[in-house]
Order: sequence, then C-alpha cells, then structure tokens
Amino acid sequence: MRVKRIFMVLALWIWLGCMTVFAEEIGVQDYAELFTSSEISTLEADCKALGEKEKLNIFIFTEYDAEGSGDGYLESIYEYYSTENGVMFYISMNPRKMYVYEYSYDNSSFRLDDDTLHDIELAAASASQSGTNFMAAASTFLSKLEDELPGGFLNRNNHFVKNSTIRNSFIICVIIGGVIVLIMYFGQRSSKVTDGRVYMKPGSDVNILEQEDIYTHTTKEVITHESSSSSGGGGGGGGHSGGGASF
Amino acid sequence: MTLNYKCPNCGGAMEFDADSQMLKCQFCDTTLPIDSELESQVEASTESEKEPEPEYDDYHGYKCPSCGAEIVTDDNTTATFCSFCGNPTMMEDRMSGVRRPSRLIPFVLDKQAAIANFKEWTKKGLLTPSEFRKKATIEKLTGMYVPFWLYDYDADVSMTARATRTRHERRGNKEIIYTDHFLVNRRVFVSYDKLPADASEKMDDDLMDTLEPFEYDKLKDFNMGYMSGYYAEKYDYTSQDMKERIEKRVKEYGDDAARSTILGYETVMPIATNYRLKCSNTEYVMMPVWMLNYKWKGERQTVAINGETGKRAGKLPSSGARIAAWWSGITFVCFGISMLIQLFH
Repeated sequence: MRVKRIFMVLALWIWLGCMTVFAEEIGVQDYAELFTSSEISTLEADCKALGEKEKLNIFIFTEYDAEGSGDGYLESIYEYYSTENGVMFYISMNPRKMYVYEYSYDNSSFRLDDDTLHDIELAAASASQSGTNFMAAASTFLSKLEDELPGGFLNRNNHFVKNSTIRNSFIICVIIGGVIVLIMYFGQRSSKVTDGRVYMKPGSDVNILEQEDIYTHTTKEVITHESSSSSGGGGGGGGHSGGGASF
Repeated sequence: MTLNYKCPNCGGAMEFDADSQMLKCQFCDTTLPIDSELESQVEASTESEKEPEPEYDDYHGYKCPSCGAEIVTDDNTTATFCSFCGNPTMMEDRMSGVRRPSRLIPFVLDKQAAIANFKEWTKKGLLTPSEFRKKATIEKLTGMYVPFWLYDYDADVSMTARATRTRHERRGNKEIIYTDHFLVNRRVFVSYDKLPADASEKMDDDLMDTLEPFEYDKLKDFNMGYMSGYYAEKYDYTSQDMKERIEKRVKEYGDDAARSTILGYETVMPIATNYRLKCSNTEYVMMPVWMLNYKWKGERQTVAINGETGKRAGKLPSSGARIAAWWSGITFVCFGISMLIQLFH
C-alpha cells in the first residue's frame, strides 16, 4: 500500500515535471504558418539556447487573426504557454502587428524597459521587409534581444539582479566606506567640549535679571493633503510590451 | 641663579614624584615632602650668569649647580635638565617677583601613566600608523608646566531674540499651521570662576583649550619643588594681553547662558546681544601637561595630555595605507552584505 502511494506520488511528480518541461520548451507556436519547418527548428534551437543562457523562457507566437489587443491579450497568451519569466515575440497578420512582450511572474523582475522593447519591435518589423521575410524578423528579434538583455544573475527567489544594480550597490558601498573612514579620520582629532557651566562660580547659577516675551503676530500656512486612493493588492504576474510595430 | 634638589642621604638629584606627590631621590628612593622648609635642601649656583651673546639674543647661559656645565636655555625656560649630567635644574630668578606663579597643579600622571594613556589613545586611533606607537616615539613624551592665567569674570548679558512657536490644526484634508512670533528679551548675570588662558606663545591655544577642564581643587601654593624633573616656561603674555581672547570666550558662554533661559519656543534667533563684563580677579598659575612633538610626512605636529586629568588633545597622524585598507575593507564588507541581501531577496 505504502509502495503504491510512493509510486503514485513519484508518477505525479514526473508528470508535473514533464508538464513544466513541455511548457518551457514551446519554442515556436506558428499558427499563422509564417515559417517553414526547417525555420521553426532553427528558431526553436535559437530560442532554447538564448533562454538557457539568460534563464528566461523565450518563444515566438504567431496567429493570423488577432483575437484581442494590448498587453492584457499578450499576457493571456503568455500565461497560457509559460510558467516562467520570459519574453514572447508575437506576430499577427490581421492586424499586421509585431509585439515584443516581457513577462514577470512577480512583477518585479523585468529586465527591459518599454523603450528597449519598442526598439526591438521596430527592428524586427523593419527586418521583415513589409511582411515578406518573417524569418529575418524573428532572427532580428533574437539577436537584438540578446544584445539588449542586461547582464546579471537570478537570485535564490528567481529575482533577476542586474549588473547595473550590482554596480550601483558597489558605488554606494564605496561611498559608505568613504564616509566611515572620514568619520574615523576626524575622530583622530580631539575636540574642545568645555561648557561654560564648568566655570560658573560654585553654587551660582544663571541669574535672570529681566525677562520679557512680547507676542508680535501670527502667520498661517495651509497645506492640502491629496486624498490618495489605495492601490489594489499585488499578486500574480504581469508584463509589458513596447507598444507594437506595424509592418 | 639656578637650583636643584639634592638628596640629603646620597646627594643624588631629586625629582617630583607624581605618585607620592613628594620629591623623590632617583637613586636611593628617599622622599621629601614639598613644603616651605624645602628651600634648605636647595643646592644653588650663584655664579654670575653668562651675558648673552649679541648674536643669540634669545638665549642665556646658566651654570648647572651639579656639574658646573653650561645650560643654554631660551628666555622663557624656567625649569629644564642639564644636557651633561641630566639633573633637573630650575632658573629661580625667572620665577621671582611678578613672574612667580601664585599656585600650580602638580603632575598627577607620572610618565608611565602618561605613556599608558598615550598608548590607549593610539590604540583607539584606527588610522594611526604603527610606527607612531613605537617605544622610541612614546619615550619623547615630555612633562611640562605651562603658564596659564586664570580669570574671574562677572558677565551681565542682555539678549534680544526672535522666537516662534507653532500650532497645528486639521480640517478635512487641510492642515493649518499657525506660527506665533515673539520678541524675547533676557538679561542674565553669570559669574565665572578661574577661566583659563595659556600664557605661552609657544603653546597652541586650541591644543591647550582642548586640555580643559583642569580640576582646581588640586591647586597648590607654588613651590619650586613641584617643578623638579619637569620642563617649565614662564609667561610671554601678561594677563592684560590675554584679555581680548578670554573676553571673547566669556561672551560665548554668556550667549549660551542667556539662550538657555529662552524656553518653550521651537525656533530662537538672537538678533542683538549686549555684554557688560567685569574682571574681578586674575591669577598666574602653572598647569601640568605631557607633550609629544612629532614629525609626520614632513609636518610638525603636537599632541598633549592633561597631566592632571589625562584628557588628550591634538591630532594623531593618519597613515595612507591604513586609510586605504579600512576604506576597501568596509567597502567590501558592505558590498558582501548587499550581495547576500540581493541573493536572498
């Protein structure tokens, strides 16, 4: 009985593992039939190679008639195919649009900004030569993406730490070190701390001979606090694209 | 006339001992209390002092009462050591009449205690080069009586200030801040007792001010015996010369005193202050100071330790290598911590 349970758990684990592998190896979903089978093989290999290198799920999705638009639509496609952070290159023939969409499951590990995504979209659209060479567009997407992805590492919680963040941390640490050493440097010098009270005649104090506090006027300042609407709770993932490029 | 103290038992030189607060023979450990009868122990040289050479106007020759060698000092030295026999020698004629201090605070820290104090200080100076902690450097610590004027002052200070107090009121999403403005006048009277000002030109004023406060309950009537075994200077500046400096200080203290009586306000901005200062007494005294002159990177520096309280003054040298080591060490530790945070965030 126990062996059977263990076997079932193992089977479930292997099945889930396979599901994950399947989900992460989608490579190219070419519903618009824009690529030949050999092109698909090439692109899938390239997507996989870049994905492994960057620890991202990179895939290409094409469809003839777009069933929606905007980042919400791209998100629904992405979430259907992938359970990992990644980048999707989306091409629709009706309307003739290309999108580069980046997705993060915790909304905090984006590696590219909107402008960069848009630059890649424009480069891919231009490479497609008005929609006649989608292989060139896809290859441009992959090569440009590889160029633009910032260096860094994935931490234990799968948050991407960019090289620029590391560099900024280092600069801040150098500044902290400098400030501490400066404090130490000035600590090498003893300072005068004698208070006048030390020299007051024993038993004497500050005698107030006269005191007068005259009220003159009052000034008024009004500060208006904007009522801030509370933002909804986070949770779930999200993504962004460069806004798309027509071809 | 020069003098030194000879041991009644062995004839050796006697020096003031900070531990016992008595004169102590450096050879047989005989001790003598410092009192008025001490003068009988004096061995003096009354030989005519050598006339100053015209080309060395600032220097005067004295005869050592122990070995007869010539002791060359500058105009202000009142206690020193013979360069030949090493015996402590005092120039009594430079400590007579108006140049005789009325009182002094004897050394409480002897050389060993001063060295221990100095070592503790350099240990805390994390940027201090290790060469500076070497025995040869520390041995250069010199005990010296520094001339000071003590002033008693009465200060009558009138201060006018602008002051404000704020009240807050909340109405819906509006916050109203009312600021009440006041014109505040205060007249205070404060008596200051024994405000010190060093009277030696050679001494750095800031350094001497940093050594304060001295504990005046240890002031003793002046006796040459306390100076045996230490260097000493007589004053360069008269009490009148130092008045400007000391009155500046009395005014600062008076400002603080007047300001301390303006209470209950959030901001206080003095706009006018008048002072009426009266000096009721001045006294010429000697204060004990351990001094160390050193040269670091071609620059002459002085550090000092209060010979009574152990308070330190001056700037310890900083080593470039140590600065670099600490800077890089702190940077890498901080960076390591930040990377760990990034790794597990």
